[in-house]
Amino acid sequence: MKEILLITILLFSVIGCGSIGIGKEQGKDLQAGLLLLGQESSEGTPYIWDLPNGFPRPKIPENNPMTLEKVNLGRHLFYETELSENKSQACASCHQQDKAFTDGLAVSSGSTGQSHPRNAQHLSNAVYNLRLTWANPLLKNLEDQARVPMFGDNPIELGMKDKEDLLLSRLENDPIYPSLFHAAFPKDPNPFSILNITKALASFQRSLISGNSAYDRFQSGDISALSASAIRGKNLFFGERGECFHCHGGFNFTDTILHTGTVFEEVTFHNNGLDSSNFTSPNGGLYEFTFSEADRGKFRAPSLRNVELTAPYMHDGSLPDLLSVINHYANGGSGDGTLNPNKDPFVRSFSLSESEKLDLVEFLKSLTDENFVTNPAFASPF
Amino acid sequence: MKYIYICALVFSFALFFQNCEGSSSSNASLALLAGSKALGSSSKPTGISFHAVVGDSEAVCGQEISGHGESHSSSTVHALHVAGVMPIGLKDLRFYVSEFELVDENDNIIVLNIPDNGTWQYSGVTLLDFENATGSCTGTSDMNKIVQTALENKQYKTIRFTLGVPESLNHIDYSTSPSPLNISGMAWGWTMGYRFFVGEFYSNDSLSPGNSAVLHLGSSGCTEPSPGTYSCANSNRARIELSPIEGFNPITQEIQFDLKKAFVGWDISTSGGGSKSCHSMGAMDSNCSVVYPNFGLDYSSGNSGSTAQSVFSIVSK
Repeated sequence: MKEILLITILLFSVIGCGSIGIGKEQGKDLQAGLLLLGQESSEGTPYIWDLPNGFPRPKIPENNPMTLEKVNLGRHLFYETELSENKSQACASCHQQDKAFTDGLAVSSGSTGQSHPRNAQHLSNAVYNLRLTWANPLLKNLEDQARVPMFGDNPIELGMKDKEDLLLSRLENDPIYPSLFHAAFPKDPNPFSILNITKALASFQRSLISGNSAYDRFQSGDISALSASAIRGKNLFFGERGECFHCHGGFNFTDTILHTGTVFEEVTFHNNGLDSSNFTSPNGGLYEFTFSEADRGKFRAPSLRNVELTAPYMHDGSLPDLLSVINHYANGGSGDGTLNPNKDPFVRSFSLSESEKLDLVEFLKSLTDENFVTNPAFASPF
Repeated sequence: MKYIYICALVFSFALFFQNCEGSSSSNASLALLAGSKALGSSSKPTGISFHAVVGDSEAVCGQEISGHGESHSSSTVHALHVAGVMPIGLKDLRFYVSEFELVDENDNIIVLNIPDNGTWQYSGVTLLDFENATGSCTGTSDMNKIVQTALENKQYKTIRFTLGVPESLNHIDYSTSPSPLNISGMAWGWTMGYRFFVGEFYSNDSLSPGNSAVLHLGSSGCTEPSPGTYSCANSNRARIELSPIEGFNPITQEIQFDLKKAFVGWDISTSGGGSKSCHSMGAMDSNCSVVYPNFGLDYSSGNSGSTAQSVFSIVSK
């Protein structure tokens, strides 16, 4: 009886505390919640999208509306080497503008020199991605994703695990950041937080729109924008021989898209017929999350925007150039991948002459957006 | 009867303030003591204490941990697990514990209430932290070796707890979660969950310098079938049950964690294969199946209870 009374009392005291919300951390949390609820356009200068023809309106998380001030802060943070423990790397180290925000390496190298198992993703139109990394079905927004390079230790990227206080104090003590943080989060009495860092980084990445390639100009009516070879390649790409468009279709040349008109979120991962040796630990693909053998070697089909600039290719950077990629698909896979039971049915061999392969490469090159890789708004502010 | 209710009210107020202001408030502690006394029980504000060792040595940061196993010159050195045969330097040792139960002499199950304290305890989950960021240790300077809860000074038959964060809390947003569920070193951003157990050390042995052992336990095989609802194929939560013959009195005894026993089966000497790590990532993490049974876990299923755990035991304070 005494025990029951004791437990009841203990429960009462906890519930009492929680419901009033004056617990040490809970109070802070409640405040944060109220701030989130209270967010409106007065939080800053609303970001005005300047979308290319045919681009749908991006879907932005309600708790992180786009503002010019957040994008500006995010741009500084994206290029800020203080974000790595040893100050050697920034987000931009593996996501370089002139390479459509990839790094030109087969697999990336973290701030301590540790190799990443994966090839760095390009960030063209990342705002439209339904999922963000090569194979993780759980990472759905850029705010969550930003924590992986900052705090992850397997592999170490920026190496900030357990160093939140160090990171925040570095930024607080840097002459440029107090005004940037206060401008980006004007309602926050203390805007220096990990959450706000991830919100700003996400806002900047969402601003990285690429839609002014030769292909886009062609689509808008400038038929001189594509060479005859590129047009032949385009027909192969969208035709029933190549069937590239099944996984790389739509305005963003991928098959998983998120925008304000998205009602049904279709999340797909594909095994594209790479040799099974490409799916060994830690490159199991979707299998890493589902533990289903049928998901081994399944990865997200990336957008082909700016694909000319994002070599080498595939999740492990194993294919050096576009011709190798086309040969891989024309062959219906590589090595024992041609017979892999998980292989996507659209990855099947098809015959292309050598000149047709070059036409296809010409078309893929027409997706390069020179404005995107030279736009000063996306460049380092330092 | 009325007297009991008044006492209960006083007691609950005391606990209320303790919860809300943190247990360091001496006024709250005094009030709590007064409340306990008035109730006529011998309970006092205390908790379940933990203690971490490496065999016969303390598991501490900032110094070489040795003398806890067989001599390095032993001819059987490689047949033995690494923590027992070489000097090591601790890198990290932190874990979450939750779902505490005591079983009394009459087989009554007492579910312990673990009050939120703004730092180490939230929603029934406590972070135990044995590293202080000195020497080769990473992490933070703060440490915690107790699960704060009101207890009676008496003998119990059994104590049970879970090594891990319950599923209901495992996928909350750690960037906005209350402490201790907002620590980047314990969060597992890749799976939108937490690492339940983090144990890491380096070899300080001259023949295998810098080799490391890294063990991270956490739920794996996680997907999100519907928005906000997660499902993990392998829960990987060890359910620890300790029933010493002489019983367990939380006032005079504590729970000991032995890092040496946790790593039984791994040899990180250069000739034994070098650095080893387990990140609970399923079949891709072949090293895990060796050390999971030390926690009473079956690695292929992630279920607890398939073998007897050996890492936790009851010792005198």
